[in-house]
Amino acid sequence: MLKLLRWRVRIIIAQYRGVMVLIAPILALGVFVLAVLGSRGIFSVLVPRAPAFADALLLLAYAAVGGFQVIAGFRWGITRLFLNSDLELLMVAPLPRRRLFGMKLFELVIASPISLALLAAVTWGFGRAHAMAVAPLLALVVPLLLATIAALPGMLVALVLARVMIGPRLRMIIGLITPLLPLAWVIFAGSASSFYARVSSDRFDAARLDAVGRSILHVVGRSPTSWPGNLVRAIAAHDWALLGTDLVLIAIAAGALIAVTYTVFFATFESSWTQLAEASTKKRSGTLLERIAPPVPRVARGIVIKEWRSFVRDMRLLQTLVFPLLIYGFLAIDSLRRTGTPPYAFTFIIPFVISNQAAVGLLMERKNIGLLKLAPVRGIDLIAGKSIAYAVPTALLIAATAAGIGFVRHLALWTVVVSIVVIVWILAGCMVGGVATAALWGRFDLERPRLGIGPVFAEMAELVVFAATQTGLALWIAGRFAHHNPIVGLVLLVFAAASTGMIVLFTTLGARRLETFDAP
Amino acid sequence: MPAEAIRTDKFTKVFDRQTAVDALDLVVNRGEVFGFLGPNGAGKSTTIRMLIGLLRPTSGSAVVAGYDVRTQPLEVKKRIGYMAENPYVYEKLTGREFLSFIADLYQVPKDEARDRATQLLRLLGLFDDAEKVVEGYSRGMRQKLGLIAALLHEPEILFLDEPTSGLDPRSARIVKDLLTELARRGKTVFMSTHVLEIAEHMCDRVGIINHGKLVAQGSLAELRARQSDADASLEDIFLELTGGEDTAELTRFLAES
Repeated sequence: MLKLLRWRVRIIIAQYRGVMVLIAPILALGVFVLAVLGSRGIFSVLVPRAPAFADALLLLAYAAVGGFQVIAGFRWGITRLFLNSDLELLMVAPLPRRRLFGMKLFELVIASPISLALLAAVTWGFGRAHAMAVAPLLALVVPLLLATIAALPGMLVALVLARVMIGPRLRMIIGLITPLLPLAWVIFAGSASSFYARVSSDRFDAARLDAVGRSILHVVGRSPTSWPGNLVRAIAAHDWALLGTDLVLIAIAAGALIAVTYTVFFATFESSWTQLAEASTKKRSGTLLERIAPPVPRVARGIVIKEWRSFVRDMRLLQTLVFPLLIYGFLAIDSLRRTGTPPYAFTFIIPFVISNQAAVGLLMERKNIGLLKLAPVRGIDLIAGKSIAYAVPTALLIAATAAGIGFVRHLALWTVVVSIVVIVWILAGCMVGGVATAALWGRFDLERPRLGIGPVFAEMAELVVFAATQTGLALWIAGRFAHHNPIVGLVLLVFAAASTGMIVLFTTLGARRLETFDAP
Repeated sequence: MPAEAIRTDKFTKVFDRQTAVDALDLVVNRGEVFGFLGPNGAGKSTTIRMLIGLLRPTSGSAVVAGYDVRTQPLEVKKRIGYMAENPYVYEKLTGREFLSFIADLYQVPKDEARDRATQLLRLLGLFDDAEKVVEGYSRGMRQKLGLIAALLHEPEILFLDEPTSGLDPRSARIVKDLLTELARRGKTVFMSTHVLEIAEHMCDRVGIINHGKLVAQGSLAELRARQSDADASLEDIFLELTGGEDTAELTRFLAES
């Protein structure tokens, strides 16, 4: 079993080649140390002044990561158990089912190493602030305990869904569940914004903060995702009763989950996998998309139609697009409800989230990029096709959201129209910039093509500068500056033009690289 | 229009100091079926991928369909078709949609593309499955779809990497007849294959590559003359040129064990 897990880790590490094998761990360690020091600093201030709030922060971290892992676990469960490319290899190997189960559970537990590392850093910081000698051990063990408990429901749901549904329908469910669950969570359970409003509206008042902490503990402390966090709290406070209660609760919950999940796995996995492996034989027609695709040059249009057809048939792809849109929709409504203004700040997040989806869309071509390189197609056509495929649905949602806000707020029609034009312009620039970055630095020869850390930072810088300069100019034109100074306007115009030029430069270089690089 | 479909001059590819293709001088005439043979790892696929523009040559030059592959890649791509051993396909598209996408990439007029696709789908026995998504296709069906995609824009030169691998005997026969017919109509077929029997029966000329170097090229008669053995089969010539000692050693090992 351990040998198998060691191989699993080696396969993951082997994805990083060359200098990244050295740089990535050093960078990760640096970020982790900073996170530990940062959390220790925060908890050192809070523990003596508002201990309940410090406890609440710890539990909120556990609840957030646990909630994320439970939700994401639905998707990861399906992917790791039924759709991964290594399954055929594993199924023909003489592996006992308990080992296969252990291996897949392990994959699910470490599916999000970044969130686990951040949680470990928070735990360590909390422990150091309480001068606990076992802080490093708790930081290692407790987040893994949480991840194990959180992974099991997703695995169980995946097994049950796979048993009762045929492959394509299952994939649709994955696509829909993943984006909708977080939204449902936020709508029904509320968001952190209410707590934020209660704390930030007052000056720093330790007693008030502690009271807020107690009210948070009252709500969050009962959640199963907080139980592992309660272990850390209990050890810090020498509250052995709480420790005992939590250990019993965790043992019962984990034991029951493992028993049920393993039983279902044992009874159904092979037959479900065989059923899923049988591909769909249903005939399809996708003429509607062909009719509604935008009237752009033929090659780009062909790529748009191809992307959209894949979207609606592979809901995993669709959810990568839908998820950010739903977040935007939620934030727009939440911002309007709380402050009465559109989500200006989120305009800066859109470039990262959505343009990154388009960049991933290009990287997802993997070895098929060879097909596109074989055809007499210019690199710019590829970038345009990919960008349009993602930009159109996003722009439509943004336009609908802006129109909705305009209607609710009784804004003038021209204000809404100009807002839509500005946001869509920023979105289009960011989309092209994101795809161009993937074209320029994407590694298509990998099983899971990706951008390196450097290019990701370059992309973020490129898109932030573009979004900021375009927004600045738009706000100046709209008269939102205190003094409508023409020189300021001129400077903003120059910056906006320069950042547009930067996008054009990235696009030109990316297009050239698509035409010349060695295809895998 | 030049008589040569493909000409390479000192065509070389080096990967990380390892020479995959070494100063290849190759000539393929228009309207012929050219077999490109060699053991595994000899450099066949690398040569093909350089000729079609998927890899950049490290040095040397190549002219394909009258255009330089380095300086006029788009002109070359318009005139060639390629089918990989594992063809590029999009799993979520139907066969018909995939061909429609290819028609868009090569800018083939819609009606023309539809008619040609229908004709080829019928010929290769894929017509009834054309509206099903590709992820449900067998390896042979994907191979056929890849071949149809390569033929859809009526290329002057067809590059095929192991064209009959994965095909059932009937389909393999259809593909062989199709390629012969294409050559008769003046198209050039450049194919790599391990099946020497196919090369012997189908190819007008063959080139044999070993360790990145072209060790022989010519018609079977020319190769026999070169080996001074009028009865030698292509297999005999191939093993002689690419080091049959491995086979002899294996036979000895099996006999002894």
